[in-house]
Amino acid sequence: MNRSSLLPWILLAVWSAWLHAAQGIWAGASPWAPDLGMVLLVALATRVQARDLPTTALAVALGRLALSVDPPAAVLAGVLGVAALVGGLRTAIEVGGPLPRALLAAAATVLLAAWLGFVHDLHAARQAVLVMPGLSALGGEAVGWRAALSSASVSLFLGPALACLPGLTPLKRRRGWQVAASGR
Amino acid sequence: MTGRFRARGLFLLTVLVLVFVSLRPAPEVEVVLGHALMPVRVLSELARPLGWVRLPRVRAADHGLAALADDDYRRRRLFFEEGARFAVPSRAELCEGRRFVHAEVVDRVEGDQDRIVIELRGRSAEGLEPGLPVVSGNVFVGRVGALDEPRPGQATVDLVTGKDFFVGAELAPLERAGARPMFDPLRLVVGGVTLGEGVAYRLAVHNPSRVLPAGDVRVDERLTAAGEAARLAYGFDLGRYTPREAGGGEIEPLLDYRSGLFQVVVVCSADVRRHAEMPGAEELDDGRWRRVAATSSGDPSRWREGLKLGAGTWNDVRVGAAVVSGSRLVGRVSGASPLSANVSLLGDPHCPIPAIARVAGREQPLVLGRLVSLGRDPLDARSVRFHWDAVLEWDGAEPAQAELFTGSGEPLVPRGLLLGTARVPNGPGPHVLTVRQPVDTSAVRRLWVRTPAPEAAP
Repeated sequence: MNRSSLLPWILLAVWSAWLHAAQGIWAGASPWAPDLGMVLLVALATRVQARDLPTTALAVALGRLALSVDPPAAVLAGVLGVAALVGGLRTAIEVGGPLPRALLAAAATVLLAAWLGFVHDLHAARQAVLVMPGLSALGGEAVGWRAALSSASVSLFLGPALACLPGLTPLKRRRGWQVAASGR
Repeated sequence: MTGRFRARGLFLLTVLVLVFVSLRPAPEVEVVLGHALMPVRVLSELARPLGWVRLPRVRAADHGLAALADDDYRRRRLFFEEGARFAVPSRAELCEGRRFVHAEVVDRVEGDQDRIVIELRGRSAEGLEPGLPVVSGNVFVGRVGALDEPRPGQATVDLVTGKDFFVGAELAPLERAGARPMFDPLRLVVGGVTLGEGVAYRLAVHNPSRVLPAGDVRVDERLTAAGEAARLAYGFDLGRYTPREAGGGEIEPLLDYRSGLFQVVVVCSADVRRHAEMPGAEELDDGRWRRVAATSSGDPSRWREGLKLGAGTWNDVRVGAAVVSGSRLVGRVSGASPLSANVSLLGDPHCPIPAIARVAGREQPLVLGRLVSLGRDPLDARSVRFHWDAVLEWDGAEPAQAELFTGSGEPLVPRGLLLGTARVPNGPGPHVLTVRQPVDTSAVRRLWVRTPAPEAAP
């Protein structure tokens, strides 16, 4: 990997950090805060080449890790797991359209929140401070549908724009349907 | 085609390994990950300017706390004075011929919940010896195990809850409460615990001299070869004995030995000479604080309340350390890598805090034990809800207003840090305490983190 091919991934990680920082500020003020990281990941995962999917997910995960207090392994597992799911889906169906993309963003938001909540509960149980099992998941459920809905909306209207953020164009080498075809 | 499948297989394998590591975290793996992810710190610095959006709120919180600083400090000092006063016995007969050496619980012995580490007043074990009784107020706690361990000026204490701990006792039946039995005293041996209902536990009873009625149990080891230590321990309370219908019985403890031991005294003979015991240094001024900068403005997860710090293990930041602003606890370090650290703020679910309360109209501080955060109150940004086990019911007639402070027992969380105010309910727990803060501490950015004592730092 030469310097020019590394640059888009670095820029993606920076964009991811900025989006997650905005998400953190938004989440502190409103339960309607979308998961911008997942919106970005889904937008890119439907466009990049199949072989670039793990690196894309890793760059997005690094952006989240820079701001999140969740365990690094859990964040990496969650984001890479979502990428694997999207990667698997796009070999079977066209996921680049607005509606599938919105649905995927909503699902990814809920899945990641549930996974991180579960790991947090498990960690608390190990430290004998789990006083209300599912507290995190409950929190996730209580605001999850709103976060999922807003993630879907942002993905629907801004997904293509996020995928075309400055510096990310080299990642989007071919059109979505061509990538889907190449993945099969 | 084979190469593509191999790459996919490798990707899925990586995800599975990460899932496994998440579910079964190993310290070694976390250290490796922490080092590998060090460059991520650059990303948090690059994203820092977005925090300017919250600048007005941050300024308001910082200025709000600064305005309270003097008053907070005064209340902290008052809390210390009261705490020290109530650690010594109040009954006159328990003070006769005895001297009391103040100590503060600073830790638990690793891997043994029934042994605590105390720091002796003046950081000196002069005149003390293993086997001396340790008490809190009128209540027996255990015996001194080893002196000057794990560090000079500290000692380990074997708690009465230990499975190998035994202490002789006598029982005063309830109908004759207050009057000492003159003939045929009811004797028993106490040590270890049995499980009670819910979160409660009871002290176990062994070898009763006969079938025991309900009554108050006090230490009496005069029949043993303990000598002077037996005299010193004589008469301290252990709890109330309740017979079981199925036979036998158990003692309801008067202290929360699991998480409510903060201030204790070592009992020694009145003729023991010690050099003048200087009161412990004010922990807020002992130089073990590091000013830290927050590199995030909120956690991407909606239900978490966390912060990233721009300092890590290379800056002596350790997991469990208190993060404060002035005299107020803001949160605790929940994870640390070489260059950054994660802080669980008070509103982060499952964040544990040892706590003690000054209840309005009650002279003696109320030991709450460990509180566990249930998250910030959705209706009030300045309030945090905590789970309180309330292992011991307190004697209040109705819920009372109280001011909450951190208790002792955790090495990097100094006691007496202010948490906020709450109405403390009575009756059997568990309860939910809603602690109100004068300022939303999650917005505060003038932060200091507690660092280990110099000799303990690697």
